[in-house]
Amino acid sequence: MLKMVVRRLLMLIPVLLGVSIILYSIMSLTPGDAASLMLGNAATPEAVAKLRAELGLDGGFIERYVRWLGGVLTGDFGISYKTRNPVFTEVFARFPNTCKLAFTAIAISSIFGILFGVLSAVKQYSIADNIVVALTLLLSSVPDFWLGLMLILIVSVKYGLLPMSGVDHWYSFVLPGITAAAGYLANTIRMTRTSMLDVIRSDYIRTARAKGCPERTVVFQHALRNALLPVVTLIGVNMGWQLGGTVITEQVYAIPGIGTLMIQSIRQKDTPVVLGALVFIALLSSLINLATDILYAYIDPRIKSQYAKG
Amino acid sequence: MAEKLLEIKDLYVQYHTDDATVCAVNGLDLSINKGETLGLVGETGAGKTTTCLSILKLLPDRVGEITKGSITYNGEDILAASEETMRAIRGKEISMIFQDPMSALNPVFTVGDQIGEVVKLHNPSFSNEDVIDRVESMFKMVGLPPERRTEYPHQFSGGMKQRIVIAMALACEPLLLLADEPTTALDVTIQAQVLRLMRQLKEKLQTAMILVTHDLGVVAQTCDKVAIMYAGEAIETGTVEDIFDGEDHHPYTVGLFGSIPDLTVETDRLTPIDGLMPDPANLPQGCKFSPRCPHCMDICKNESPRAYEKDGHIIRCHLFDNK
Repeated sequence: MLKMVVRRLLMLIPVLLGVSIILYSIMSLTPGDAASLMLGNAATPEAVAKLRAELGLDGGFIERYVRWLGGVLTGDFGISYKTRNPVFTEVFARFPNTCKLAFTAIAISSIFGILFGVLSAVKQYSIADNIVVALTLLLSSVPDFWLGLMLILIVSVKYGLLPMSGVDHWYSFVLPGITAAAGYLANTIRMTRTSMLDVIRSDYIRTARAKGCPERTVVFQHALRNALLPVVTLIGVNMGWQLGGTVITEQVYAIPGIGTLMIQSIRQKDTPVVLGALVFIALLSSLINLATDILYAYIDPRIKSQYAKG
Repeated sequence: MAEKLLEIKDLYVQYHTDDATVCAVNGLDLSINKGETLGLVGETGAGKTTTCLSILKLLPDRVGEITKGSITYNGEDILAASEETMRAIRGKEISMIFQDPMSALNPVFTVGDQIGEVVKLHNPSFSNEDVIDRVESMFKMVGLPPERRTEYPHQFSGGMKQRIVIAMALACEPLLLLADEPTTALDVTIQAQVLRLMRQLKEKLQTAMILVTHDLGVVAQTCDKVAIMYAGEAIETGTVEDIFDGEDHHPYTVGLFGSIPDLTVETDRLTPIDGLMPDPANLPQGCKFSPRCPHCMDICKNESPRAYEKDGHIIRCHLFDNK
């Protein structure tokens, strides 16, 4: 098990290296020059050249990449062209907001997703099941921005129950959390339902019933744990997406998060911030993937013994 | 006269699917006494497994339905019993060994926990140590090393899994064991082991057993009574002697025995019964065996045969109308 974790961690090195090369190339290929953008139209060519040298923009592509990579390896992601703050500071100023939003959304979508999914599978073809299935269709088709605006309109403006924007209180994250969760909730419900329906008809569930287990034990212990594997995968993937920043939700609720930061930086060609943020997200996604795989082993002993084998 | 443990009378079970209504069991009569072994023999689709599931009321939800008849267990009407009563009976008084040991165990729990669960459920006063003691003694009983109770189903072979399933079924010393083709999924050597084991356990625990099988050899070795099922009916029931050595037989039974190859006679081909089991969604009128029966008469096509009985040997066939 430990061996698997260590090996997976080592595998992160080539993955992140590859990601950084691709990202760096794309950013270099985009038109426009950061130095002239920063100095404006009135700048003299000398001033631009001077700033370029200052920002490390002179030299060939490989030279620049290696210089940047060297900085990254020593923990220096460079300086934002726009704010002149270290990239590290910029990203980490926003990361807690994105984190809070992501965890709220994932908590909402996972808890309700699994609950509704189980309910709808256990009561297949009942009225409750039909309502849940209709709900998933609705949730997955409603656009985020519209849902966000409607929630603001109804909950914040009309009834004044929750703040419409900002990050000042824990409850500031309720509406954004719901908005960001909607699509994922629909996915989670559907995945749980399908997986549960598969499991609930299996022989070992009949065995559990034949032992005289109460229905609750049958559903939540015998069936759910087996049905959870694909759901855990899905939640892991969702989590990666969420931590990468939910641009639309952040925009609608004016949350200064990673998504907003990235959109701004791309628009302003603030390359160091874009690269820093993306490499950070890539690292997070890989770590979440690893965590998902480790969680597998605790859910399913067959996978654990596979890991143990090597 | 031995005490009656389970009596099934005129049982009808239907499965409702989107396309059709499948009549799986059609007027089945069976009874079994305490400590007795009844062999339930018949082709695939004859309603054997359905019968077992009906006894436990574990027919698939919303699909399977008992439409008529009665099942009486120890004087209690099973069909009228509440879900709670059934839960108390399942696993403790009546337990079942399922057909496929590969899929009958939950892959995410240790086998010890799975046996322990049934022990704990029906003996709430047991401490964890008591439960573990019982699990370990069950392991020894079925010939598995007790220390392997902390392992998971995928770490065992098929035969071992079947032993675990048997241990689970016998953990609460049930009065009635429903063994649904316990040896079908196993190879012949393991089959013999498992059968010997079940016979020993039965003697030790005085458990009555319904042994579902389509292997007549197994029946001859293990059973006291036999019921031959065809299209959801018991077309012939009697003691093992009646069925194997009796004079009168249902034509289907004759065909069934005829289809077993004789080791001492050289033949090129097997002698199967012509035709196929009727589609349970579309059963023939009259005697359900009539389309395949070599002795089919006009009456067979229109009227269901009555039961003809002689000293407990029951045959449902018009051939015996005059006797």
